[in-house]
Amino acid sequence: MPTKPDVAADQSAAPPADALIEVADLKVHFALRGGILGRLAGRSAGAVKAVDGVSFALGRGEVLGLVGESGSGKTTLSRALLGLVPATSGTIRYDGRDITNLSEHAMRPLRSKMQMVFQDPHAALNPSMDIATAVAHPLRIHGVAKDRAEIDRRVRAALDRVGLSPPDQYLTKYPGDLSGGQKQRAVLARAIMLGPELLVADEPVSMLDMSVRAKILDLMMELRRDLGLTYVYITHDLATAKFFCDTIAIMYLGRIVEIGPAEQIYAAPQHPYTKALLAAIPEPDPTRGVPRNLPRGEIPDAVTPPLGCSFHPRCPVAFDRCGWEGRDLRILLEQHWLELPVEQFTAERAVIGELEGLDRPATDVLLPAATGHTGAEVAALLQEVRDVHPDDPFWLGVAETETLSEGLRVRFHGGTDPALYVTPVEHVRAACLLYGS
Amino acid sequence: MVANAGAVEQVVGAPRGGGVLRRTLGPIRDARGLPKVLLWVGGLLFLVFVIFAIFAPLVAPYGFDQTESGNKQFPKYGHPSGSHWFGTNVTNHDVLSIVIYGARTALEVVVLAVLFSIIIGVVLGLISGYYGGWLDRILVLIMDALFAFPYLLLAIVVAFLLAGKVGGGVMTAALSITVVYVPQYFRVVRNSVLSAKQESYVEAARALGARPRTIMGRYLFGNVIQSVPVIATLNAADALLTLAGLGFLGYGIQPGDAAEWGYELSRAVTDAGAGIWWTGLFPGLAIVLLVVGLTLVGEGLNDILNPVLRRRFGRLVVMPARPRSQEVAGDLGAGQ
Amino acid sequence: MTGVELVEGGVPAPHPDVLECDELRVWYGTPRGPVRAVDGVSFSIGRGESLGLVGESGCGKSTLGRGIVGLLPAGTGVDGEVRFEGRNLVGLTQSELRELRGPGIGLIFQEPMTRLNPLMRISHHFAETIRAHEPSAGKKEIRTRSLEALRGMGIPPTRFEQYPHEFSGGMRQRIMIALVLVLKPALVIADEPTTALDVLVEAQILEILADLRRNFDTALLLITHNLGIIAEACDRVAVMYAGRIAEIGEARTVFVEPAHPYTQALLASTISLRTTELRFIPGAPPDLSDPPPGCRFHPRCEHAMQQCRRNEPIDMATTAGRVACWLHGPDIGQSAADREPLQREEIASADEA
Repeated sequence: MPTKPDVAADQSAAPPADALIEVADLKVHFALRGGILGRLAGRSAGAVKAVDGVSFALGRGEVLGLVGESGSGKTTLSRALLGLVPATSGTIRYDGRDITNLSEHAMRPLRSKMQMVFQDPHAALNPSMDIATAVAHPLRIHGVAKDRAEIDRRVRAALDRVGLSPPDQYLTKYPGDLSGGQKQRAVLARAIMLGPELLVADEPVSMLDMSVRAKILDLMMELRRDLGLTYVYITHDLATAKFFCDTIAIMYLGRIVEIGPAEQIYAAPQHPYTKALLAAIPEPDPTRGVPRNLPRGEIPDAVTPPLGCSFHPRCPVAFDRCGWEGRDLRILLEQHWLELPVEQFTAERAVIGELEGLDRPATDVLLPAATGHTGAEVAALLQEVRDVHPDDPFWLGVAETETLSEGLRVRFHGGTDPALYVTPVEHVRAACLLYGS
Repeated sequence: MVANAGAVEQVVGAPRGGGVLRRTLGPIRDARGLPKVLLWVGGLLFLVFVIFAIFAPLVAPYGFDQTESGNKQFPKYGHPSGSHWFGTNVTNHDVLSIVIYGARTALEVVVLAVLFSIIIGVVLGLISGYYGGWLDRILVLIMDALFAFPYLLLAIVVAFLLAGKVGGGVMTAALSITVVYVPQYFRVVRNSVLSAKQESYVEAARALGARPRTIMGRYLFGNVIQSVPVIATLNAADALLTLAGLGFLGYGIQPGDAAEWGYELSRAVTDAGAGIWWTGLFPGLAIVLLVVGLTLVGEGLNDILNPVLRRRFGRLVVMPARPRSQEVAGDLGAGQ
Repeated sequence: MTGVELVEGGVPAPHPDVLECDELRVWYGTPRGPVRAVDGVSFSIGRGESLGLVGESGCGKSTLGRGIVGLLPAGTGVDGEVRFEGRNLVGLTQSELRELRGPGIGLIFQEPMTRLNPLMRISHHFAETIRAHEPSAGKKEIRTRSLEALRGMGIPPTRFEQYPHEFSGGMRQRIMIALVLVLKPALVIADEPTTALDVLVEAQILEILADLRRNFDTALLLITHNLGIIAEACDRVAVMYAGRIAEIGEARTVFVEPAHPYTQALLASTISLRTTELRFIPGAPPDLSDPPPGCRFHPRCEHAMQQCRRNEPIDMATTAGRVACWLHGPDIGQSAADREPLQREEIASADEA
């Protein structure tokens, strides 16, 4: 049974000399189409910053794991690497050559070197093509082999290679006749037909049963060994990533928040988000119960990300410089009201006016009093909220408050957007203000 | 797991992918119950008219514009009788023959029209859906405009413009009807393309480096035309009515060129007041029956092929009694 | 599990077991013949207890979940008994079952995105759900109960009037759970509730499910393919293979000392942070329209014996619960020849999943 392959002894942060892929400050923003009036007035309605400044380098034969939840931008990044989605800024280099936003025409010959494996095996194969045609199609598209006998030979070889043997049994089947694992094997067969160098695998096993995952991962490792493939392995499952990857990059809201050799990341995670992800993985160990210290809330909106460090609203160890702002105040209030019985909530809610004003990224906000109530009442209410959970990191971010007649003015400390700082662990960098400023 | 939800699907006879033909014929073969009845009845009706159309010269007693046989003139407004089962009309023509030859005209025009509509509509829908952008916007605008036009008016305008320019009344009528129905296919195919474009296998095709024409032809085409058979049959029924409408108003087919039910109906309008019922009833009945036949086929196909409507045809299961565990243990004890 | 307790005054106590399945069989009819999706399943769930039902795709676990509440395609054969609080559900009419679904048995499905009506506010969803089963409930009562249920799920009351699309996937699943729990059912059946969700969100949902019995005194049947989830959220576990239960018992014991070879193989193949080797089970689950004779796992089992190919194993008691495997007896009636190891045919690659 296969065991984890040896990790290269020294993985320095500088890009390896024979880097196959080098990404520098890549951004992929999707413009939002605003309302009619907005468009008429020429106002742009903002953009979804799916990938917001990502840099990394990947050497030949290495496996890079891109780990993150939905909304982290990992899927968009994988599409951008293959040129399936246009890059807004930054560069992508493949084997030294700049391929950012190349035309389809120029990109086509490169496509034989870079292939993709998809998440949903049930959707990745054309339902109206049988396996023989589907797997042979890359050859036809690139005009590599014209002779039918040659094509047939190569298809059979590929099917054998991925474990779909005897090939005769599979050539005439349609995707609907195969199981999930078999479909994924067929997808891999199609991907290796042209002899690629790079394989981008987007959650290749997350829709398969546990026992089948091991088989497909094993197959991918074999292919890496035998065909000298380089992988970018995208997943939200740190458990499979640990097994398969040399380097891990944790993504959050379009940025890489921690990157380093796999061994180090698992042994000593530096970023609070990484720690949370690791703690949340289900273990088949009934003595362990469900982890209780999960970060609160969810991945925020990618159009206007939180100020400063984008993880700060959920971070258990945040402090004053992490970028506190008005929206955090609203979240705090809603969290507080969650813990109260309905009548008390209604009573407290009546004191405060419209909360919509807090929904902007601003460090100087007014918590308005409702009509018939004063700013002093609001201040008193907020003090009560504070007394319930005085240790909430939020309060570290509040610089000062000022009681006005129409409400309470709250000013926050300014925040800094962290870059990837060097951490005490060798070769691991994390985007957390605990490690730099 | 998608597989789990799909497990129930797969188990109970959902189509398992494959070529277009396989996915269409498979469910039809497996169909049971009301949809199957609809298909049979409609199919039979349709078949009758197809036979009329193809074998008109053999089936019809006389030609559609024949006014005498042997040396005998046909009567004017002759009652239905032994020699004229459906009677004769004001111009001494045999109504039965008109009905039979009318089937030929109707099916010729309708088949041509539906074929043209499909070809133009599907191709434009594929291109428009795949490329998007300004081409898509313009096409959608044109198609929506055509769609919004009252269909009979549109057909009349086109028939008027084409009169005499394109050979024969049949072609003119067919083209007029084509223009009316192209937007339907365009819309349906374009919408299917828009959603199929998001599927992983299309993305995979792009990642493989396939050209747009390959993607449209091999990857999208087979998967977006699933609703076309249903629309085509329902369309045909509708087209028939449009043709009859054109004929009734005097556009489209001229009486000398071919027999046409709608035209006959227009002439029969005045007859009814005079108590002459057979000149209007039989052509009218023919229209009704053929339209009903096509509609039944269309609705039956829809119930069978449309994944949303398709009922799970689970066969009734008869379960054998379960052997009780004690019996098994008893067997073991005794046998060994 | 509580025994039967008589309350003073002679009022009958609630039935100790919320759910009892007795030799349940669910066979689908297909053109190829009947598919024996569930083929003789027996288990019980006590009040406030959580049972995890685990198995791979195609083992019949989803069918079991749906079969209990009668959500099966027309023409499906159902045999055996399913007793909910003492009352047999097999053979009830659809309208009787409809009354039961909701206040009796709550259902949570896999895709929360598609189960909420995008045109209705959340408050409206709750109002509709409550009124469907309790037509006399007043507006204030509905609002209070709904907010309470949402509170338990961590949804702020300020968002009560929003539409489903304004919530993320994880929050929608929590809203679904709240909708189910607001009717205070005795049993909740959750079919792959977290499969479509990310790991942090999944952990939040599992926390809720694990606390169900404490906060709501509700029994839980959790259907999943992930053993890790069951270990964290369930008291007992049932391992299902090819329509039968291979092993069932206390979760702690089964995970530490799995009795059935399939359970052992499943545990070994689960990839977690502690995995050092990739292990998998050779072969693929059988076609349920034509299952293998004898023990259904024998073609893939390392420890298969001659006996295993001929006779179906009998349920035997274990420290945790029970197991159906010839390795555990009974010894009566087995000769030495029967216990000879079975020469398994080389599993052709073609049969690999």
